[in-house]
Amino acid sequence: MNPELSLQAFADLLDTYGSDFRCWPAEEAEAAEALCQTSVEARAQYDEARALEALFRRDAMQPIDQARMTAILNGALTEIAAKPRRRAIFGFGGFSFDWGWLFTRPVGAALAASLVAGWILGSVAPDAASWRSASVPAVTALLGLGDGGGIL
Amino acid sequence: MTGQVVDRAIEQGDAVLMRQVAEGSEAAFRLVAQRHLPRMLRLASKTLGGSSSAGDAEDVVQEALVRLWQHAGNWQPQRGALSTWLYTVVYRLCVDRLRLKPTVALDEAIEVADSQPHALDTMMRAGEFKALDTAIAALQPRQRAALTLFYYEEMSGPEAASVLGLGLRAFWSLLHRARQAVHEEMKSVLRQQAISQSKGSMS
Repeated sequence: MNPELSLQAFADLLDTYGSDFRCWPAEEAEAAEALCQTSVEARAQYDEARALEALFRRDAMQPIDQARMTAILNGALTEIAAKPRRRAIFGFGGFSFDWGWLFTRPVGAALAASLVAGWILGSVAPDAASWRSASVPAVTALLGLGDGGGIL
Repeated sequence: MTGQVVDRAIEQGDAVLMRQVAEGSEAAFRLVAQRHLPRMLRLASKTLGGSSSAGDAEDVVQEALVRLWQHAGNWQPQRGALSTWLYTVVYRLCVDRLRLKPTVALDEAIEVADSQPHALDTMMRAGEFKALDTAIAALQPRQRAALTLFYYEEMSGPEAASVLGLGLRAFWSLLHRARQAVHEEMKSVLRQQAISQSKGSMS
């Protein structure tokens, strides 16, 4: 038995894991069962916890109006009929792309677009050294600060 | 038949039906919807709480069903139960709806005892379920969803945490606060019931 388990700790654990000691961490469960056998207050807290769970269960068993559910289902079917599934824009070899996420996930679409753009730029741009050597004189020439080093 | 076996049978049925839904079968869609609709509606009603009308919960479930149809082909049974996926959609739609309501702050703690009529008084007027509804409605939306998934839908902690997009520790903490608040609000009612229960078990 864990002698550290106070009534307050017991109440906190009841509110976290519920009254089924099988769901508790093993050590605390053992201490709690022992506490329930020796403490009237602990037993009362335990009974209250069980009463709360019984209330949840009874509430969960309340029937839901069938007409309400039918109305929801019919509403969904009407909407589905008016808004057909998005089709793939193109496909090949039995594999088609679903582009719907481009519209539902704009951040993901922006990231994907920037990655593709970066890849294309990286493929078509000249190597970094020649790019750098050409760009500095070109900029100074455009600003009227030099002759462009023969580039322009 | 144990509950787990029943759940597995339902999941297997869901997988077959969802393939048919993806192929455009309205009959399969109706079956899937009828199977999951009551639980989806309960989660939506509880999560939206007393500040929303019954129509809001119905709109959320209807939208979730439309998404079920639209994305049936994307659902993969090996990645999780259909119910978990549907609960996640319903929960997110509820959160979106609550964000649109300026009077409801998603992460704002609500003082239960001071702002609500006392649960016992409510119970005297309209019964224990009404009192329970009032107590649950006074919680934060995330707390309401945690309580509903764990106690009403009997999901495990890890499953409910994944629906809410939380770590397990954060989920237990959320559930603890939710239950504590409801317990506090319902104390008088529960004490009476606990006494009558223990009298019943003694006699």
